[in-house]
Amino acid sequence: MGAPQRHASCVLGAGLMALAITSPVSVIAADARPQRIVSLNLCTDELLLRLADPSQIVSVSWLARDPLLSNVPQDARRYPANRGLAEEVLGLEPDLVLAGRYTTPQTVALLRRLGLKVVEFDFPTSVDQSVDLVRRFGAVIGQEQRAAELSERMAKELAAFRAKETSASPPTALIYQPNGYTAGAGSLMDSLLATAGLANMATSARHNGYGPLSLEAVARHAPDIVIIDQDSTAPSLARQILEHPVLAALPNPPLTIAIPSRLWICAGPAMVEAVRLLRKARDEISSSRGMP
Amino acid sequence: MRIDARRISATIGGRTILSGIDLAVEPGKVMGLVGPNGAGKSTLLRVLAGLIPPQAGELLYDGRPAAVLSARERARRIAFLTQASRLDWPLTAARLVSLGRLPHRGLLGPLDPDRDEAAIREAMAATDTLQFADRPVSTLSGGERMRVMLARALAVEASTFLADEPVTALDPAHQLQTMQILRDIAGRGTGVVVVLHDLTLAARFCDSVALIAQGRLAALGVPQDVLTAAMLRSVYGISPYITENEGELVIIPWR
Amino acid sequence: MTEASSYRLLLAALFVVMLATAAASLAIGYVNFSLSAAVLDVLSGTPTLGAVILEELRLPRTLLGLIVGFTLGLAGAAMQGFLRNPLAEPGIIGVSGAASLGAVLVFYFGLAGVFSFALPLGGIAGAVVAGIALFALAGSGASTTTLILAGVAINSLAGALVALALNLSPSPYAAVEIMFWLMGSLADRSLAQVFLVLPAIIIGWLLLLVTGRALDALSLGEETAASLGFDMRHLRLMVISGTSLAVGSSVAISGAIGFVGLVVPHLLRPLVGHVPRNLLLASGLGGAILTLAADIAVRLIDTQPELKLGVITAIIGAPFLLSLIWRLRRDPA
Repeated sequence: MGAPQRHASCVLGAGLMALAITSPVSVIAADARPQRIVSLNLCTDELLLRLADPSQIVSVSWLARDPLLSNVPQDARRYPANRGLAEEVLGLEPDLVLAGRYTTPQTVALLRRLGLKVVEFDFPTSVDQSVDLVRRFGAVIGQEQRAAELSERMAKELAAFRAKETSASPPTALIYQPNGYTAGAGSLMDSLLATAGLANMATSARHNGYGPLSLEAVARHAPDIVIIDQDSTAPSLARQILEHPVLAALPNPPLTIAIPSRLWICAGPAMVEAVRLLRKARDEISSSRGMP
Repeated sequence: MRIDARRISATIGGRTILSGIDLAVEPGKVMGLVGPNGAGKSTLLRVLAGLIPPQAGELLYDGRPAAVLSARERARRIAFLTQASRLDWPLTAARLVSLGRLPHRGLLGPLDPDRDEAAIREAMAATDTLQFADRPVSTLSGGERMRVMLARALAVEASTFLADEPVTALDPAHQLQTMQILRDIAGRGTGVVVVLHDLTLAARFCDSVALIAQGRLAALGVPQDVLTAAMLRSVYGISPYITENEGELVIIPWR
Repeated sequence: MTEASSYRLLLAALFVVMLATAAASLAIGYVNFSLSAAVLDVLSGTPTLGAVILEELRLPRTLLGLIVGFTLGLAGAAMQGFLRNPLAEPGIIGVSGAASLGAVLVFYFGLAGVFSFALPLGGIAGAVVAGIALFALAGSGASTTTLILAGVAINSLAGALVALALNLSPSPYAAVEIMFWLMGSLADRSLAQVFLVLPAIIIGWLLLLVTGRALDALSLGEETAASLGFDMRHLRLMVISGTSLAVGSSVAISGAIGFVGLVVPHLLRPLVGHVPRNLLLASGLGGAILTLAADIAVRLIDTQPELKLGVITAIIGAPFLLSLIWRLRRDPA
């Protein structure tokens, strides 16, 4: 597989997996804020583009320009794109390199060996961790003020959604990725579902909620909502499974909604939009089924 | 069925194998095809069988052009026995012989099952192969296999029988038995053409002999007229020893 | 005649086992429910969980297993009869691989969305190209070595082109779907897909089944077969078109499943007295049984994600092939 697809699957894979190790981050003093930042990772790209001064940004990853994957594609186009290769990075002479937990370890190790400062950010596994990550990010790039504003706004909006939740047995939702992959317990998606007042069906179907779920199991657990990724309409077998007639044939066919995965892979304000869409579906299914 | 070959020429791969062959296969008669190796005897047999279309000339079956006959009809009227006996699957002798009944079978089975069974049994009895009925043909000797193949051709019960060197691999007893079988079926009305190398057998068992040399018909007629010392010397380049025993010709290549 | 009746007995036995395997296939899956209750629910139109799963998931899967399995067994027997070689089968000689390529090109570049029959058509086209290439390379009556080599060549090229096509396709998921196309699977197919390919497959079956007598005659060699009234060119056309229609359509829906067409005819051949015509229908039934059994195994073996069907058939079939080749080396008769 080429670099693009390696990145895409890293990005998507990380969004699904639940690993809770955060790497230590060092804080930069405001007067020594980094002036030549290169970002190698889709999520760090987004926060960089939202929080940094344009003069601080040297390059973001090529993924950031892809409207299917990135929340800030237009902004990303203003900067040169990199493919995450060590040689490219060296040529840009950065004073700070931002990477994700799953950026190629060899590349990261090599850059460090050559004396560059590389900061790695983990994917958050909960809504609260995401808010915290935004704050920490701001500290790393020397934009604590902006980061505080953004993270507080996010926290407030998410808290408002949480306050709406009333039911003791909320509707169940299943996130059904191509090839049947679901959202595991303790993953960011799981946390977003909870924030929107939905129960993650995958955690009751499997002991840790992670992994491919057969269509039979989906039919058996009969989720109220099925959430699919709204990616390109190019045909693939993975897409075909999502359109299998068995879902429509169920006694209470689930409400199927499409939420672009770019809204919930990375920590950032786009998550709030995801929760909004989830909450809307929840309200719709509750009223149509006569549930609280 | 009568076969007429008129001015037949045949080309294979650009080479002319036969030219200007004129002969007739008559019901109830045995014709021997003799001649040196590579003369075109096998090719002529295949032209008569309708397996190789002639380049020029006419081939008539019962007076009508050969092409008019459907493949199935032709298969019922002409039985063809090749020299090569390649068999890829270890069929039992009985099953192999029953393949001769294919021209008389429809999609769902034999058109006349009793006739089928009788034909197979008679063919195997005539060739002395009933004892091998349940043995895989691959376990038989070369000569035994040849007899089973002969039975297969007999089972067709065709009105014309064309055989390419059927006795070459057989022991003397079975050589005589096979030639006698050919005479017997001719006696019942079948037209027989047999390619032979043994000149004595040709002389004794054939009503007529066609001598083929270099793709042309060198001579055609009764054995004593065709298999003369002069003829054999010019065609084969040998001096034969010709004599008689019990009123029948004996021809032995001598020098 | 005892020969005909023992053949009928064999067919009846195979048919019964096939039905039993199909019943097991309907009953086995990832969710437990009472099969009899579900059947009643389906018939009465009550959409209970069991009924829905039975009708929309288990039934298409079982039907597909029967159809694809019958196709592979029948095509294997027909090819072996026609090429007069016990190692011929759609997978080994490259027909399935080429069919995969045809289907992949149609599917991933959107043609199947435009016109749904385009998908089996792609598979059929791929199979036809392989059939033509095979006869150009090996001809009928070719030695085993030549045949296998031709198959290796076609399979290598087809496999490489499938990988290339998947990498170039617009969907990001395509590249990882190569295992489906090259190893095959019956999972998560719908009834609509089964009915899409069924007509072409049935025509293919009919074309192959009527070659029976010609294949019998062919066991005596091409000349003798011609003298028995069978046109060799006509036979070649029937075998290539029947195989292309049936195997090509099957592969378009289930991917390339190998070795069924090798193992089944080989096991059944002694039971039908080595008669090529009798082997055809028997191999079809045997192929259905083997494929369904392998698919049941795939559901019972707990791997994540589900094992591809072709893996099981290869685990059974490849050692089988090796032993066949070994035996042919020792007596090349």
